[in-house]
Amino acid sequence: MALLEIQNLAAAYGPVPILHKIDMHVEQGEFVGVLGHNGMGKTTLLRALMGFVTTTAGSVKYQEREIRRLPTYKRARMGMSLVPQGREIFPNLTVMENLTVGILGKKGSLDRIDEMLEFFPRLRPLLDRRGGALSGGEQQILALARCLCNHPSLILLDEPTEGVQPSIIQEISEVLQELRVKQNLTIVLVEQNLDFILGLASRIYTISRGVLDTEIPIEEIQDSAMVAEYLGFGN
Amino acid sequence: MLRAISKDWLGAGFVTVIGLAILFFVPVLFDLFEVLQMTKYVVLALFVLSLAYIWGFGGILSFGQAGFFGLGGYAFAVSSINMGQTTVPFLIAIAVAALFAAALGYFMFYGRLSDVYLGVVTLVVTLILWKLINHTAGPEYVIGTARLGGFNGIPSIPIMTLPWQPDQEMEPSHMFQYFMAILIGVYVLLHILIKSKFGRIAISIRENEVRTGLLGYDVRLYKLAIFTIGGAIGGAAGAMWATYQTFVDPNIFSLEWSALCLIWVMAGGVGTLFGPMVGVLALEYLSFQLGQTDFINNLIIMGVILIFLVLLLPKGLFPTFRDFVTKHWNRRHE
Repeated sequence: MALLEIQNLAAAYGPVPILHKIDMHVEQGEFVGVLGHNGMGKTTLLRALMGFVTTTAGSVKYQEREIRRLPTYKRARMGMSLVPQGREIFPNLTVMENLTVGILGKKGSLDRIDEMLEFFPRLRPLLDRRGGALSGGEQQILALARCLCNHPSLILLDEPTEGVQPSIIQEISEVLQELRVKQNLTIVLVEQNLDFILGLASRIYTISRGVLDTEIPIEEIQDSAMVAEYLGFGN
Repeated sequence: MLRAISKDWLGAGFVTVIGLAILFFVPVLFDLFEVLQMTKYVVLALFVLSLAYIWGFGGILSFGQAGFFGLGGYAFAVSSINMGQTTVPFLIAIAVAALFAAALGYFMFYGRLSDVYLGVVTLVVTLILWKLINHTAGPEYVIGTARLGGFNGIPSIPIMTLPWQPDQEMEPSHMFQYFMAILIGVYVLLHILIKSKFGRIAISIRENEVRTGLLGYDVRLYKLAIFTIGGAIGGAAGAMWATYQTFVDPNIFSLEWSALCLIWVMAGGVGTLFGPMVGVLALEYLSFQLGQTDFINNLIIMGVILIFLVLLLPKGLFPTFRDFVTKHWNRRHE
């Protein structure tokens, strides 16, 4: 049974329909990518899955439970976690406070933060610094670490490489691979960075004008020219 | 991290020590009139803490904080006249204001009102209370032995007594010390709350509700708790105001009180607890001094000062001073 099963999902911003008839399934431990140009509905898809964009039809099942009408915080408590585009850390809280807020409840919180600092050693000397004073890449790492603090079973990543220096993109990529293997994490990644997504995803959907129109076969994923063709990038 | 924690607590400790020094030395060093004047500032400082907390650390901008102040005042007046003591009525005043805040907050936060509408609703509710109390002048508006009195207000409210000496009214100097102790206690408790996990989540909500919800927190519940705490503090201040004046009238609910509360917080500095208390002291003292002159209307001068404050010190008095000192300290120790 799929960890996440989406059927015929539609979503809208007020009266404007954005997503149409989305069908998608994600198995436990899978790394699924969603590729698409700007404005095609990638971010809206993730927001709809987390419950803060109105869904107008269809079904979203997570761990075999219908969650389409659940509020955002309940979805988060069930183990779904979104790392939004643009990092969205709390700029006036310190790195340590950002991580602490990321843990629901108090049990084992310091141990979990320590564990995260093992994964992201770059954050250790920055613990007292305010989130807003970090570089874009460091903020992205903090956002990812904060999300992981709460032991999510499904992570929705929205363009984590946007505006981030290449060395940090590499670091993020390595940590995600490691987490996937060690913690059997399931990840849905929305990206425009073809190389980043190809290096991680085991399956890729393409999205165009609010419709998931293609699922690129696994055997074709490593062929970036082929993927670009699917997207109409014309490599 | 330890450095950051100790820096935070050092500031709060410093404020507490200053507060304790004021508590002990003011009654000794100043005459009765000045002690009474400072008692008023202490009550207003507690009132401003109610808004400083919910606005500065929870992002809830209430335009109707006077509603809780007034409810606390009236609840204390009615219950103390009926019970003939002040300790239980003081607790009743806090509970009434907190319950009202919780009920109002429930409809606002669970009704998903946006910030602008929240401001409007709090303001309108306060004005409704003002109007309502104004229309209770008739003899039929009696609770026990306490007549509400409509626009005439409730006179002869008992003076505060100590819990263990319910028959002995406090001397003005003792009342000052008692109120000062309450102010220090509330300040310390709020500081502890802000530094707790609850406080950090509240600040997260202030910065971005959606992000906080994404982390699994029920934002509505947290906002309700923050708003209720603010209401309780406002109610306590209202009760203290009622016993300090031994009189309360519907003007306690007026727009003027809500506006003053906002101005004190803005002038002192949003996002701090100490700043708004400084704001109360500075502006009320200034207003008092200007009130003694007769060459120009003091409201005009106050208005001009406030415009300059907002334009030149948008962060407020205390944060501007703190940033200035920190900058020069860092420069000297580089």
